[in-house]
Amino acid sequence: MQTAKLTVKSEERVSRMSRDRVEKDKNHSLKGTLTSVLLLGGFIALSWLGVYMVFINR
Amino acid sequence: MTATAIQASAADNRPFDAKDGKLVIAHLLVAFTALLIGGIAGLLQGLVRGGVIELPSELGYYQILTAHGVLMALIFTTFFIIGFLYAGISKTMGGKLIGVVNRMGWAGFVLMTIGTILGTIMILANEATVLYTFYAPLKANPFFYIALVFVVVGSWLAGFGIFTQYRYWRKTNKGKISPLFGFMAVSTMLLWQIATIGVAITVLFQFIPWSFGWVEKINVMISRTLFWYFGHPLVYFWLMPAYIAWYVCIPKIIGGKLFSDSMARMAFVLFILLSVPVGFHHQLMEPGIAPIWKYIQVILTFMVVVPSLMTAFAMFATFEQTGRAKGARGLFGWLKKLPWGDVRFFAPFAGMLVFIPAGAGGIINASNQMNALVHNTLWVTGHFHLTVATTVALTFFGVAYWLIPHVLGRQLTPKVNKLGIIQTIIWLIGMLFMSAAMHTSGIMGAPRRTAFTTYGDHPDSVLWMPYYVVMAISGTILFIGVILMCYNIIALMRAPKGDANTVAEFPIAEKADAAEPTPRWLERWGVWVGLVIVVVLFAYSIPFGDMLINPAPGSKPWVTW
Amino acid sequence: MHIHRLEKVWLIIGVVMLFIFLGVLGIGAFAMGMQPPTGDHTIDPEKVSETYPFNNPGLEQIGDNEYNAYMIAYAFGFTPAKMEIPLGAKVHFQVTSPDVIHGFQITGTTVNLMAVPGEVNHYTYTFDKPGEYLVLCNEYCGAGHEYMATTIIVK
Repeated sequence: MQTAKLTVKSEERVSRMSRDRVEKDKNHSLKGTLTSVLLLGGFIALSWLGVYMVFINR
Repeated sequence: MTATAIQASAADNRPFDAKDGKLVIAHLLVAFTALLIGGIAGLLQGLVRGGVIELPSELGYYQILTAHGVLMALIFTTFFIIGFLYAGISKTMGGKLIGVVNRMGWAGFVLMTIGTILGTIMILANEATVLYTFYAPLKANPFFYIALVFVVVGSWLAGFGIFTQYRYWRKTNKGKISPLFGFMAVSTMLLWQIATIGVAITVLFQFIPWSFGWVEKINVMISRTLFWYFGHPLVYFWLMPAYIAWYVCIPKIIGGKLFSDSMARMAFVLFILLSVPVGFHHQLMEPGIAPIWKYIQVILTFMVVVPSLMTAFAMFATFEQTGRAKGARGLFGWLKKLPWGDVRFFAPFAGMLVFIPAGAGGIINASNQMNALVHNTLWVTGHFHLTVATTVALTFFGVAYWLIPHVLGRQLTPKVNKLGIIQTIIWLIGMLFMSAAMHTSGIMGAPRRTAFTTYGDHPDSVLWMPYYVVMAISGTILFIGVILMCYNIIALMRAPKGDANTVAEFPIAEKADAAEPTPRWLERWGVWVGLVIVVVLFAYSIPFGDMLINPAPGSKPWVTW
Repeated sequence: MHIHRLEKVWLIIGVVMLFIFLGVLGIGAFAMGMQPPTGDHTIDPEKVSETYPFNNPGLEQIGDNEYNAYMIAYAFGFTPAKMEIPLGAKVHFQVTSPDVIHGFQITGTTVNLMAVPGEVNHYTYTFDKPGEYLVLCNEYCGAGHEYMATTIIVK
C-alpha cells in the first residue's frame, strides 16, 4: 500500500511538471493575456487614482 | 423519446426542439418589444434634457423615465435572460425540456407578461411615476406593485423550471459533471431566487398594504435596505448570462476551446456567494446605517470584483490560445486571428471591451467616501449605460443572431450578419459618446433623473449644457441602433430555412484540457446556499436588526407628481 | 483544481490592488474623518418644523468659525434658502425631510447626502474656497424636482 501511495504522488508531480513545461512552451504562452489584464489593471488603478485626487481636492 | 435519445451530447447539430423553440422565441419577442418602447422613451429623454424638444402636456419626463427604466432594466433583461437560459438547458441538458419544465416555463412567461402589461398601463396612465426604483414614501397605484409581483413570481416559476430540468439531467446522467451551460444557468437562477427575497418582502409586506391604505405608515430605511439587498445582485443576474455566452459560446465561435471549465464554475460560485451582501454600496450617502457596516459591505463589494478579474483573464487566454493554435506569434499576434467580421463574436467582444471602463467605474462608485462625488449624478447613469446597456445588451444582441435562427431551423445569412456588424458599431458610437458625456458632466455635478433645467442659469449648470447636447445627439444615434436591431430581429425570424449544414449553430465550446477533471465539490449547491446565508447574516443582521429594533418613525404616502 | 501560473500572478496583483484601495479608504474614513454622511438620529417627519433643531433652521455658531447648519429639504425647496457662510468655516450639516426623500448636493464640494424622512443625516464640510455654490436636489422627488435648488454663499 505504501508503494502504491508513493507511485500516485510521484505520478501527480510528473504530470504537474510536464503541465508547467507545456504552459511555458511558446505555443501555449499566455504572455499576451497577462499583458492585457495588467493593462486592464492599470486602467482601473489610474482611473481610481484620478477620481481619488478629485475627491481630496474638493 | 427514449432515454438514450435524450442523453444526446452537447455539441451535436440536432435540430432544436420545436416546442421548446416557441417558448424561447416568445421570451425574446417580448424582450425586443420592450427594447423598442423603452428606446422611444430614452430618445425623448435625451432630447428633452438637451433642450431640443418639449414634451406634449400629456407626457411627463419622469413618467417616460419610469417607463425607460422598467422596460429596459427589468423587462428586456429578464425576458431575454430566461429565453436564453431555457434554450441552453434544452440544448445541453437532454436535447428537450421535459413536460413539466416546458409547462413551468410557459406559466412563468404568462405571469411575467401579465405583470409587464399591467405595469406599463399604470406607468402610461401616470399612476406610477415613481421611477423603476419606486422609493418610499412616493406612493404609486397599488396595481403597479401588484404588476411587479406578477413579474417576480413568474420569474420564480421560470427558475424552478430550470432547477427541475437540471435535477432530471443529473438523475439520468449519474456520475457525470453537469454541462457548463446548465451549471451556470442554475447558478444564475439560484442567485435570482435569493436576491428577489428582499424586494418580495418589501413589496408584499410594506408597499402593497401601505398603498392600499390598510397600513398607515411605511418605514423608509427598511424598505430601501430590502430593495438594495435585491438591487445589487440584480446586476449580476444581468451579467452572469452575458458571462455564460462568453464562457460557453464564444470559444466555439472563434474556433477555439474553453480555457478552464473549473475556473469558470468557480467564478459563478463566487458570484452566488458575494453578489448579495453588498447592497449598502448603493446606500453610502444615507443616514441610519453605521459607518462600519457601510465599510464592511464595501470590502465585500471589492471581493466580488475577483470573479470578473478571473473572467477577464479567461477571455484573453481563450483568444490567445486559439490564436496561437492557428499559428499566431508575438505578444498580440492572436488579435489578428479573431473573426472580426462575425457578428456572433464582434458584438459580445465589443461588450467585453466596454466592460473595462464599466468595471473601473463600478469600483470607483463603491469606494465608500468617494461615492460622494458621483452619487445621484449622471456619472452613475454613464456607468450603467456601459455595464448593462452596452456590455450585457451587445452580448445579448450577439447571441440573438444565432439563437433565433437556430431555434427556428433557419440561417444566419451574410446580409443579416453585415447588418449586425453595422448595428453593433452604431450602438458602440452612441453609447461611448453618451456615456463619456454622462461621466464627465456627472463628476462636474450634473444630477441624474432630472428634467430640463438650467437652475436659474447658475454657472455650474451652464457648463453642463454642452454635455446634455452630446447626450441628445448620441441618444438619437442609439435610437437608430434600436430600430436597426428590431429590423434585424424580424429579418432573423424570417430568414431562409437551413439544412443540417446551413442551419445556424448553437455554439457550445469543448474544454481545452479534456484531461483536466472538474472538481465535483463545485456542484455542492447546499454548501453554497449555506455560505450565502452565513455571509448575508454577517453583512446585514446588525445594521438591519438595528432598523427593526430602533425603527425611525414611518412615513405616510406621498404623491408628488 | 489547477490554476495557470500566470492567472495566479494576475489574481494576486488584482487583489493586492483592491486591498490598497480599501486601505486608503479605510484610513481616510476612520482615522482622518472622511466618513460618508451618517446619522443615528431619528425624527417624526410630520413634526419636523416643531422639533429641535429644525424649529430654528439655519446656521448656529458653536465655535471659532465652526457652525451647525440645520436644513430642511422639502418638495420643492430648501429651508433656509440662500445661506451665507464665512470663508474657512467648518460646517456640520444636519438635514432631514418632512415629506419624500431628497438629495442635498453642493456642487463643487463633497457634500452629497440623502435627506430621508424619519431620519436626520449628518455631514461635516469645511468651505475654504469662496463663491456662490449651487445646492440642488439630486434624488427624484416629484413634478418639481428639477426646480429644487438654492445657493450657499461663502465669503
